[in-house]
Amino acid sequence: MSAPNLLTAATQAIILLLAILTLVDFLRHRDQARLDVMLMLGDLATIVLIQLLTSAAGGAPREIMLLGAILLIAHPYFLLRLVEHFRPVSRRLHAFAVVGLAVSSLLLLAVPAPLPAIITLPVIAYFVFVEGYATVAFVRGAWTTSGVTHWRMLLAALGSGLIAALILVLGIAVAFPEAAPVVRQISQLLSVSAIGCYYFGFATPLWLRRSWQLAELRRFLAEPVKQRMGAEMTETLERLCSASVRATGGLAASVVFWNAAETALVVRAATDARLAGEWSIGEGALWRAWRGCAPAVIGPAKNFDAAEAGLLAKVNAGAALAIPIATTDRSWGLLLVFTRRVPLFATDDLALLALFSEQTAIVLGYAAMLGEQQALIAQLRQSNLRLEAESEIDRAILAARSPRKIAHAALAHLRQLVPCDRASVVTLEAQQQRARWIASENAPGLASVEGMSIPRQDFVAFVQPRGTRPAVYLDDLFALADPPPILRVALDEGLSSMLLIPLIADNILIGGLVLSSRQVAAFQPEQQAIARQVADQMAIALEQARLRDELEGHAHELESRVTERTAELENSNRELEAFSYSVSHDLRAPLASIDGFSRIVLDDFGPQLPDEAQRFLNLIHQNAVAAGELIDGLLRFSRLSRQALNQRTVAPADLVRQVLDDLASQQDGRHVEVVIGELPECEADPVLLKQVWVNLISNALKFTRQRAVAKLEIGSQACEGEEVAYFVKDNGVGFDREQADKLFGVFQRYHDAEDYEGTGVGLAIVERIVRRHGGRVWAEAQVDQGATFYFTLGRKAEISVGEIREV
Amino acid sequence: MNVPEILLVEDNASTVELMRYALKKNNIANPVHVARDGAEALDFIFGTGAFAGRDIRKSPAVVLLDLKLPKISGLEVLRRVRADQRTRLTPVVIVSASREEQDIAKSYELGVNGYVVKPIDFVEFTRMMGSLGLYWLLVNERPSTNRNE
Repeated sequence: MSAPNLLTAATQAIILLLAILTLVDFLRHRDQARLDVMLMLGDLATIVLIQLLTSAAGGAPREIMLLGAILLIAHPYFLLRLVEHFRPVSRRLHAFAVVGLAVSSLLLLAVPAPLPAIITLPVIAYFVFVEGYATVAFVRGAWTTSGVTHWRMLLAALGSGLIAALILVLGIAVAFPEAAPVVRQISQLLSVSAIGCYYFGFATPLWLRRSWQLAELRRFLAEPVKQRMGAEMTETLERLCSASVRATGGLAASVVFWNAAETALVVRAATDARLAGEWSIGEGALWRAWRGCAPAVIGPAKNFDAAEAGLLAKVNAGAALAIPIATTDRSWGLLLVFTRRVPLFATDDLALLALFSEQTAIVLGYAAMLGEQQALIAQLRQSNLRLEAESEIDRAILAARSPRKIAHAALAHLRQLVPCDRASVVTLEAQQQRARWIASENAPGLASVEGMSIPRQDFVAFVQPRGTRPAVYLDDLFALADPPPILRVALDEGLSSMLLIPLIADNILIGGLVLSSRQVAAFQPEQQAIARQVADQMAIALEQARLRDELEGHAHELESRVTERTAELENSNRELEAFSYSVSHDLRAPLASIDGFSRIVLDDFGPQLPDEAQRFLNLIHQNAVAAGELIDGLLRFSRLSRQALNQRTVAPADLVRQVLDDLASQQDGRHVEVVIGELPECEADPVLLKQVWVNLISNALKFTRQRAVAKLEIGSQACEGEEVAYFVKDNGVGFDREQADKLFGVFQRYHDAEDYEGTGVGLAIVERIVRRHGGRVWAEAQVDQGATFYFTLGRKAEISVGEIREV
Repeated sequence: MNVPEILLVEDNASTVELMRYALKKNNIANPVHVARDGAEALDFIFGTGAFAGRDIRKSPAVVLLDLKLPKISGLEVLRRVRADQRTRLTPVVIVSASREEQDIAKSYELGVNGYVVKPIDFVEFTRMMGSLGLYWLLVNERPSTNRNE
C-alpha cells in the first residue's frame, strides 16, 4: 500500500471511529449538543462509507456518488448547527445555509456529470462561505473561552478551516484540471489534518483533556496564591466567577450561599449585577445539585421549575452549570455559570469548574480557619492587654490613698485601653452641692478640667434619668438639638463623642467617669465594657478612700476633743492643786497665828485676866483647831480626786478589825458591842477602803454615844446584780429619812456641832471613794431608830470622768 | 560669837514672832536671823546684796525654811544652797504648812535635812520647835571642815 493510500485509510478509519464515538456518546446522554456533534461527524462518516463501498464494488451508481456529494455539501450546515451552541446564528444566515444546501443538491441532481464549472464553482463558494463562517465562529468561541473548551474549539475551527481549504483546493482542480496531481496530494494532506483536528477536538483523549485542565487550573490557582493569605472571601469568589466565565465562555457566573434557614440563595459574588440579591428556590435542579453535592447541568429550559427559569432569565441564559463549592467537611455554596445553551463540551466544563470550586473551597476553608485563628489571637491579645491593664489599675488604685490619686492612676491606665482625648473623674461633694472634677488626663491641646465644678443638680439630672444602671453615650454631641449645660464645655473644645459612666457605690451615685473624644462615635461596645469595669473598680476604691478619710476625720476629731478635754481637765486640776496649796498655806498660817497668840495670852497673861476672858481665849483656841481640822479634811477630800486608784484584792474583814482596834482607844470605856458578819473579798484600793471603814465606823460610834450599850453590826448582803453591799448598822440616833440624800454632800451636817463634833466631810469622802471604785453608797434610817450605811464597790473599778490617769 | 546662829526664812511676821516665842519658851537662846523672802535668805547665806562682806564661812547652825516665799521660793533657795560647794552641807529644815506629798518628795530630792509641818495647835507647835532646836543646836554634831578652811 502506498503512503497516500495509507493516509487515506487512516483518515477514513479516524472518521469512522469519531462517528462511532460520538454516536455512543449521544446515545448515552441524548442531548442537543451531542446530537449535533454526532450529526456533523456522522455526515462525514457516511461519505467515507460511500467511498469505501464504491471502491470495494469497483464503481458505484451515479445516485450513490451524488448522495456522497450532497452529504459533503451538507457539512457546513451541520457545523453551523454546532456554532449555534455557543454563538447565536442569525436567521438569515441559517436560511441561507438551508437554501444553499437545497439549491446545491438540486443542481447536483439536475445537471448530469461532469458538472460544468459554472455550477461547481458557486456550490464550492457556498460551501467555503458557510464553512468559513463556522470556522471563524469557532475561533471567536475559542477566543472567549479558555481551558479545555478553548482548545477543543480551536481544534474544531482548525478542522473546519482545513475542510474549507480542502473543498477550495478541489474547486481549483475542477477549474484547472492540469493541476490535478498536486491538488490530490494537497487535498489528501488537508483531509488528514482536518480529520486529526476533528479527532482531537471532538473526541479528545483523556490525557489531553487532563493536561489542558491542569494548565487551566494552574492558571486559576497561580493568581490567587499571591494574595491567598489576606484575600477577602468576596474577592476569592469574584475571582472564581470570572475564571469560570472565562473557562466556559458562559454569559455570567455567580456564587450563591444558602441563607441560614436554607430557604433562599444569597448571592455572594457575581460577574453580572443583575444577579445580585436573594433568590427563593424550590426543590428543583439547583436544590438537587446542592443536596447531592455534585456538579450538574441545569437545562435545557424545559427542565426548569419556575424559580429557576426566572433566575436564568435575568441574564438571558438557556442553561446553567451548578457546581458545589465544598470540601469534605464543609459546604460553602454553589458556583453557577450561566450559558446560552447547554455547553457543547459540558462535561469538560463541569470537570474544570469542579476543580476550580474545590480549590476555592479549600482557599475559603483555609482563609476561614486563618480568620478564626487571627480573630482568636487578636481576641486573646486584647483580653490579655485588658487583664493586664485592669490588674495595673487595681494595683494603682490600691497603692493610691487619696481619691485624686486613685482617679489619676485609673485614668492613666484606662487611656491606654480606651483611646480618648480626655478622661476625667467627677465626684459629688455632699456638703457643697457641687459636682467637681478631681482628675483629668488630656490629649495635647486640651486643657485639664481638674478642679472645675458644676452644680450637683446639673450632673445628677444628666445621669439619673437613665435608669438604675445608666451609662450615657453620646456619639455626636454636635448633632444634639439642645445640649444640656454639662456638655457645653465639651462642645466648646470640639469634642464629639462622650461616654459617661456613673460611679455607684452601695447604690448611691458618687460621681462619674467621663471619656470624650474629638472623633464621632469613638467608643465601641467593647471599650464601653472596659470603661464600665474600670468605673466599677474606681467607685469601690473611691468609696473606700472616702470612708477611710471619714474614719480618720472622726478619729482626728475625737483625738482633738480628748486632747482639748484633757487640757481642760489638767488645767482645772492644776487650779485645784494651786487652790489646795493656797488653802493649806494661807489658811493654816493665820489659824496657827490665832491659836498661837491666844495661847500666849493665856499662858503669859492668864492669871491677870478675868475668867470670862480666859474662857473666850479657850474658845478661840478650840475654833482654830476645828477650822484646822476642817481644812485638813477638805484637803484630804480634794486629794482623793487626784490620787490614782491602786486596786488589788482586799479582805475587808482585816481592814475592819484594824479600824476597830484604832478606834477602841477613843471609846473611854464605853460599852460597845460589835458584830462582824461575812465580809467577802473585793477589788479595791486598800488605803482608801480603810478610810471608808474609818469614817463609817467612827460615825456609828459617834452617833451611838448616848446609848448605854452601843450596838454595831458590820456585814454584807447581796443586792441586785452580782454586787455585794457592805453595811455598817448602828442603834444610834438615826436621822430623818427625807434627809438621807443630803448626808453625802460636803459640809452637810445633820446634827449640830455642839453634840456631835466633826467637819461634815466624812461622808462626802466615803461617797467620793466609793464612787471612784464604781460603787454607790446609801443609807437607811429613822430618827432614834439607828442607821444603816450601805456601800458597794462595783464589779470593777471605773475611771470617773474627772480623773486624770497619770502615765 | 561661838553661839551658832539660826536662820529663819519666813515671810509671815506673826509666824516669825510665834517661832521666836516658841524658841524662847524652849530656852533656846541662840541668835535668830530672819530673812523675809528667798532672795534675802540667799543674800545672807552667800554674803551678797545687803549682806555683802558677811563671812559666809559662819554658816547658820540650821536654816528653818518656809516653802511659800516671796521672790524666790523655798525649794529654789534649798536648791541653790545645795548646789554651792561652800554651803551644801548647811543643815536645812523645811517648816511648812503644806502636807502635800509632792512638796515633801521634792524637798527630799533636793537634799533637805528635815521636813516638818507646822501644827495649828500652838502647844504642839511649841513642842515641835523645842524638838527642832534641841536636835539641831545641841544633839547634832556638824562636820568641822567648814571652820578649818
